[in-house]
Amino acid sequence: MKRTIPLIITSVTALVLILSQATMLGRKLEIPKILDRYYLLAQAGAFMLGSIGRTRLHLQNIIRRREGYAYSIVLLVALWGFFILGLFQTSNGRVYQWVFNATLPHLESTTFAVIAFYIASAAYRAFRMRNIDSSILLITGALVILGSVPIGEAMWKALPSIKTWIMNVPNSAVQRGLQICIRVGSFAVALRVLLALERAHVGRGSD
Amino acid sequence: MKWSRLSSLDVRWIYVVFLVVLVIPMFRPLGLPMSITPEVRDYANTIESLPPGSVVWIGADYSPGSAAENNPQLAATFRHCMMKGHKVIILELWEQAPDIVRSIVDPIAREMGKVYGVDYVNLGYKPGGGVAVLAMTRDIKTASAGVDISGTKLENFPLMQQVTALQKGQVQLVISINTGSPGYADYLNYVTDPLGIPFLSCPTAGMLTGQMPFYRSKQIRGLLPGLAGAAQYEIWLKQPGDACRQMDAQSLGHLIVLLFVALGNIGYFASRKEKGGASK
Repeated sequence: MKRTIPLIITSVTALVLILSQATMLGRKLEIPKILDRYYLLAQAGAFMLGSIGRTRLHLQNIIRRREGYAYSIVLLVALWGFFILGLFQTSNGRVYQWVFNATLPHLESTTFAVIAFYIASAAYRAFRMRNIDSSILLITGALVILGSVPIGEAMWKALPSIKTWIMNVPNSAVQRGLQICIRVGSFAVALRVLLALERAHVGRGSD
Repeated sequence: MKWSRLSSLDVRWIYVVFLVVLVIPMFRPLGLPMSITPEVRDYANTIESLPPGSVVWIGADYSPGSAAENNPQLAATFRHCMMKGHKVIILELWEQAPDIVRSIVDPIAREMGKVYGVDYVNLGYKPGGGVAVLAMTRDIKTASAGVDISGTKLENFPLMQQVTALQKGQVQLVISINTGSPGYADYLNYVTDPLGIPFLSCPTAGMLTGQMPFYRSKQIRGLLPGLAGAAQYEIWLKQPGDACRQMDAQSLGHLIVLLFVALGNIGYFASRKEKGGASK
């Protein structure tokens, strides 16, 4: 039952969605509009459910003093601190805004700034002209990188045009192939979900 | 000198050189000239060619991690729209976006004497990604729980009395400022392509490759790729700002990465030669 009921709900919901979009009656009854509202509510509810699950997991880490449990403390303080602050102030409150603006943007910006250094060192270590394939990749990458910035243009006037050609012709051709394959794959997965053949999302284990 | 040593430099040297090269142009800009690419020109011309009073929908879908690229794009776009007298509605599908967006658009609006609710409205963060966007095409009030970013009822705003759904006829242009999913694909799939609304996109530089085919097919009318796109747009607007200042650092950063890659390869070939010589 633990797996069968979610599978039935998934298939029935998918069927109702298709019929509501594809039939006159569905559109007349404004079923898509009603379903949108349920979806948005469910999505918001999922955040709360996720928060509770995460809290249980990290409380266990703290109680059992598992490795890195200090990070669990930080996570719980941030999660529930923002939640409680939001209850009293809403997300427009001065303190809420101050705490948010003083922490998260800086932490995330710092993380991404640090990544830039790692990318530089990774590029130095990884990009070697070992064979024809890696040589093509390296030369193309160098042309696109330099063609994208003013210093490349200052070095050689033709670089931006070469970069534009690479992006427009070989890149677009490959991207189109990729995107068509992805869409066909997505359609196949959607069909499997509708027919209850895809069961990964309901987890493993016995019914 | 043993050239092969170049292939195994201490990475800390790379970090130091990289840091110095990034910091210097921040204080002493090089002022390198920049030409405007066709995709940026198309982007600017699309906004420019709209009649004053047109409604522009901006999907600002990013987080602080990509703010260095997306903030200048948003600032220049919003400024251009306000200069042209367009009305702007902003929606965020990323929960970390609203505060960043507010910190960018509100000062510009104040500086230009624009009124919130009349000239622009920020709907704030709405969960649901593509479904939220799809719901906006039916009824903005239902899809946004009837309130804006500050919890004020939408019916209080003249602009939202005029625009009730993200539909052709009510919205003349959709712009997505994006760094991932949800983002441009949701607008392209559910709004602009099916409804025939012109669409512009501001991806981070890393996302440009995936969006070029849509620009080629005119499903995206114009692009502002990353910081470079924003800088070119600022030049087009004749209002150089943050993006222009930061481009010199990005230029030198790219050059240094390529320089170290070249050094690594010189070392690699030298070590291969040495090994070959040793085996003979």
